[in-house]
Amino acid sequence: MPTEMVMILVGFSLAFALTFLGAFIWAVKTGQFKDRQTPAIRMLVDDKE
Amino acid sequence: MVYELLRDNGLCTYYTLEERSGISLKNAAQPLHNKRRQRFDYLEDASVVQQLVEFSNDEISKITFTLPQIHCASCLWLLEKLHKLHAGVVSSRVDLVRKHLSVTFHQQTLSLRALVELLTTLGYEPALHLNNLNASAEREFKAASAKKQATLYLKMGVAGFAFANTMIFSFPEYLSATGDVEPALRMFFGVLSIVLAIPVLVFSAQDYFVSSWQSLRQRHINLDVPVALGIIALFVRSVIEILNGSTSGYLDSFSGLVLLLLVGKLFQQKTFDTIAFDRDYQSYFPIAVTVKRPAKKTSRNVPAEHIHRSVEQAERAEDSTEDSEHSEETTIPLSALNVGEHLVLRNRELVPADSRLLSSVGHIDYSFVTGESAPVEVLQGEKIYAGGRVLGGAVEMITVKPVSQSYLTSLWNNEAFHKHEPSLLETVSDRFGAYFTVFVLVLAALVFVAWLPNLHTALNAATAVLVIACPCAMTLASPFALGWTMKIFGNAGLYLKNPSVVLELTTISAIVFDKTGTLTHTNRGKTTFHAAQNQAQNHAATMLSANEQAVIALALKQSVHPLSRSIAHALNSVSEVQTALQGFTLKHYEEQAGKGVHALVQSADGKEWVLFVGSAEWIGTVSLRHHSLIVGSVRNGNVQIEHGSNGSTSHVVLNGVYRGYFVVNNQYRSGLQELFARLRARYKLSLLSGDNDAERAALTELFGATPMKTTPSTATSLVAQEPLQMAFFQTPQDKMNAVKALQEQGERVMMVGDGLNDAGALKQSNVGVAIAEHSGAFSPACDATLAAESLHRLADFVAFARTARRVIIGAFWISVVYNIVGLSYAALGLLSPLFSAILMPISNATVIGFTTAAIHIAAYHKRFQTVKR
Repeated sequence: MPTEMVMILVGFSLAFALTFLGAFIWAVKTGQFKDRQTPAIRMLVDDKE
Repeated sequence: MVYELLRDNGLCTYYTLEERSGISLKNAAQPLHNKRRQRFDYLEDASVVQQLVEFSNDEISKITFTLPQIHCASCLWLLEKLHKLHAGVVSSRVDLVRKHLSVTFHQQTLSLRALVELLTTLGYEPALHLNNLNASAEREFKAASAKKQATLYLKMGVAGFAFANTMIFSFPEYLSATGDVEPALRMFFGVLSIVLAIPVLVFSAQDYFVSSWQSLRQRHINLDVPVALGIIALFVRSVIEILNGSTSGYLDSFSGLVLLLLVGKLFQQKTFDTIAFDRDYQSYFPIAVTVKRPAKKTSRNVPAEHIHRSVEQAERAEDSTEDSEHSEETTIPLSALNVGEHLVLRNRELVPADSRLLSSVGHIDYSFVTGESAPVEVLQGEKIYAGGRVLGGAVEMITVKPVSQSYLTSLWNNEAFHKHEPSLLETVSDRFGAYFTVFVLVLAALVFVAWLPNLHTALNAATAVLVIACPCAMTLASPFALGWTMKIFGNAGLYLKNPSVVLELTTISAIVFDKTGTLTHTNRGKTTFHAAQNQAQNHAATMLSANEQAVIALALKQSVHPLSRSIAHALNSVSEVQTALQGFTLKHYEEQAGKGVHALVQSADGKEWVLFVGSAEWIGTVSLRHHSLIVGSVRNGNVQIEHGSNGSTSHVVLNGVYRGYFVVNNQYRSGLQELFARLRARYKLSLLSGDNDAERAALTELFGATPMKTTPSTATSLVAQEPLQMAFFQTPQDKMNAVKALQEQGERVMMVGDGLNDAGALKQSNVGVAIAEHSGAFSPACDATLAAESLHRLADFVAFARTARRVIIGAFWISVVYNIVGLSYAALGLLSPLFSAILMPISNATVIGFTTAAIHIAAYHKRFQTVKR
């Protein structure tokens, strides 16, 4: 019984972790790691529309 | 004007963003006058537009500009609000680090030319050079390298993910205090580990397999071979042991190893990317040039096939159509420039191809090519070389060679630039890899044989050897050590082309220096004033008062002549002069390029000052013309004209009285004497100069007594300058030959030079270092660029390179210790997953940690900074 429980729990946690890996892959593929300096400054710029 | 532009579009926060934000409005605010507009004519040319633009369809076009003026947050803010300034702009995006601006615009409503003009009025004139013309190809290339780095991140992500999770799955086994883990659970974790390890093997570790395979195909073992071998051994053995239930496998060590290797690779790549290096004449030449072409219907351009037609013929033909109604000035792209074209070049414009002067006289600044700041006077009919800049008024010339065959560009095409030899680092790494692989394989075989009666243990031990052996010193220590060193050097002003140069710096035995521009400041001279005795009134020599100096400084500031600039700079650095300057205004200014300046200055109290500053001959002719203006003895015979000591004289006549002359001498950079004293101890030093030998004595004192080999060959007699003229076809070749001769004597040469004419020698040497006064200057195919103000630290740089090498060797010994421990266990058949999971990460981490710490400590000791302040 404990063995099966562990297996299920590990299975879930692995699936959960995989979504994060997926998010990382998506971020790299959409170019979010290309320019790491400019966005940091861009977000500080005031936008008074 | 800019203010109005911004206000009308509601963008006034531009001024509140930062205290001293943006660009100085003085320069930015002028609307483009007709003359300035004309230089963008070539942007109307459809073929030019097509080559500049990265992408274009019916609706929109996309282009990326390099704007060197970008420097702060308000630049970012303004440039990304471009769409508010003109409806034709769809969007714009700034890359602050690279100083790029990517603009997407509707080419129907906003032409490329209008866009460039808009940016120029804002103060951000794009730097457009010949190398921008293959924009789409360059973009593809940049996209490919960006993709490579993105893939590296992905590989690291996958490897890291697998490492963390398999590590967790291994814990029950490692930590079980109550005996073995339940077999079903164990198998479950084992299989999961394999599932996670497969992408690591197939994707993350890909590069090592590819590289090893390619290297083996060429019957050659490189550094990636033992790495690939170890990775495969780890994986295969783990899978076997998991599936037959004997152990829980080594997959955590496996993914951990791959992860660390990739981290090393990423580090190497990042330090590599920070400096863009491979530039050639195309990033220096303009895209277009003004020519005078006949406005007739029949085309009179000399087509390429008719180049053999003599230039005189073309000239004569041109002369006959010289009336302005028959020829017009247009701006054409450089690619359309033929031989025999009539160029019109204005002040500060670049000569794009070897030409003959048509105007009666011209002054050309060849400083970018030779480092000589004094302009060269060229007479009608004499040759002007591509790469020079026109000074003073507009000149006309006729091209005699195509752009690509001009002296300058043919220097690039010299085959020395196209050889690619493997770098020192590659050679050393590959040799290390080869020895290591052989060693490991031989050891595994021996171990196997030693255990032989017991086949099971024999296999166990042999594969354990393959698993545990790690060439970490080279795969981890050297990327980190060299990467940090490159960063440290960069912060101190020395920019290396690639990490291998660090190692090459440790191998040199001789250093060759160029003089002009390298050891001397290119645009700062030592200025002294020699007051004249006023014979007419029998006064003793009177020095210039602060007011008088202010008058001269004010006038000379307007001049483009380097001598004037030097004098103005020297005068301006005196504080009394600076304060005196406030009270004067310039009323009239006239310059005869290369000859002299005539100015009228008025002081606050209405007093007028008439000033003539120039060469002795010019003052003489002026005095003949304005006889009434000049009192005193300024005929050539009476004034002692001193040409020499590499100085140039500017005579001063103020309010009709001859006051004396300024002498501007070459000023040597600071700290050189100490530098040479230190270098002399280890290296053989020599000096090459394209100049005359007037400063031989001064330089011998500077250099001290250099120990010289007494062989009579001409190459070694280089301590004194060679009395060379500025004959283009000799100097660079001579320098290159001198370096070659030294190398033939077995020396490894480092050449320190500047300007394009040293390029041959720089390339020929083992390490070519180009001195740059400002970041805009460049020298192609050099191994390193040294900021001029950091020249005096050259000895420090070379010493630190040696330290870096010692750090790598130290890391090597550490990894030897680990390998001994690990291999002993492996050979004895005692290797277990737990043991490897502890040993491998620790050994790798120690190597990285030691390398990083050692380099930082050494940097701190030698007063280098690791972080840019």
